[in-house]
Amino acid sequence: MAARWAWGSAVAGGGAARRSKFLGQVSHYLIRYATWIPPLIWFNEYVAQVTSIHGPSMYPFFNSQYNESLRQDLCLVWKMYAQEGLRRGMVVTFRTTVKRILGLPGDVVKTKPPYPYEHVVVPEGHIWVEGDGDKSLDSNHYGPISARLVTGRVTHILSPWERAGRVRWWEHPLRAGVHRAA
Amino acid sequence: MPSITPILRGLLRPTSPTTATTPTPTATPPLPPWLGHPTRVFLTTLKFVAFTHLIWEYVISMAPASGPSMLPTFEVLGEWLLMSKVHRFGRGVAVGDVVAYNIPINEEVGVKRVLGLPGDYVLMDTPADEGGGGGGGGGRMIQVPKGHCWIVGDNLVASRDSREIGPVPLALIRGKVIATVRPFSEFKWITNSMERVDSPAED
Repeated sequence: MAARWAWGSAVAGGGAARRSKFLGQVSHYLIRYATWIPPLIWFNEYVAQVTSIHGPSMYPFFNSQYNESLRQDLCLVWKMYAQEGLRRGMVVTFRTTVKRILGLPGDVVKTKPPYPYEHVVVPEGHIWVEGDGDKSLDSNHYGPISARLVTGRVTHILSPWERAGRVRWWEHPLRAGVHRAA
Repeated sequence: MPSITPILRGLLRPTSPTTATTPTPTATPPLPPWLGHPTRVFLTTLKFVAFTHLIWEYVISMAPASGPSMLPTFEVLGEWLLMSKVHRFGRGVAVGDVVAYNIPINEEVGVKRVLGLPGDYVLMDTPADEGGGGGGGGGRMIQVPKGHCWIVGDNLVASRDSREIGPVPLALIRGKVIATVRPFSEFKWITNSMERVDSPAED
């Protein structure tokens, strides 16, 4: 009886020790991997980030099958010096959206329907942005926006393999109605 | 040709003392694992700096400020402001709070007081009785649009603010100023002077 009791307790003790060793190892590795989260956040914020494009606002450039499938384009967004050297035609990201730059400071843009005036002069430090598609909430709704709201540039399409590659924004034709300042 | 192997070796876990080869009689005490190899030291430093940056960018931060636009709340020169980055993008900001924001039309950062939030009606120009330079007191008002705020300096005569550049996007707000810290003997919390007055119960 006594021997059996000792045997049982020994087994139980061994199991507990093994379990605590297992938990110790798991928590050790979790903490070791967690220490890489801050560098990852820094990289995503200041260097580059992989992000998916929501919605049809850039149709057909992004999400060209938005009305056929739920698949979203995966893109590489370059964050370094995002607000410097902006050009017409560039595809830029904001906190929640992605749009194409149409007008730079000084340009006179012929607006589209929801905008109350027919023409607008883009003010200093601001840009006029529009989506490629028809279903886009863009500068025609909220007017010219500050260039400091730009968070990054879309440089590559990653996900639909057929369209993967560099975003050649300089080859994309801009719509008529932008009178360039310079 | 220099080999990359010694650099990569730093990524390995340091070997335990039992498997160490030929311990010399004058062996130094074992170093902690993060201080063993130059690569490991570099990575530890990188992670530590990134963690500090995370706190600095998302929790609390400090920066010098200068300019006459916020007199008498802040001095013209030599101010250092403590900022709560939890309030970035205007999160939880109330009318009367002092915020630091990216000026929409240039590359600078401004510090001003929030006088209107989305939906509020604000005066577009300087009130006449403040004696502001050029203050016509025309009494024109504007409703602050969605996602914007109305930002005005405390020193109306020497401040370029929403009266000139219009409503400022909330997304340009960097954080809320919570204290001035320099010199430390004059540490002062910046409180909202426009707290809601507890009015007697009405029915």
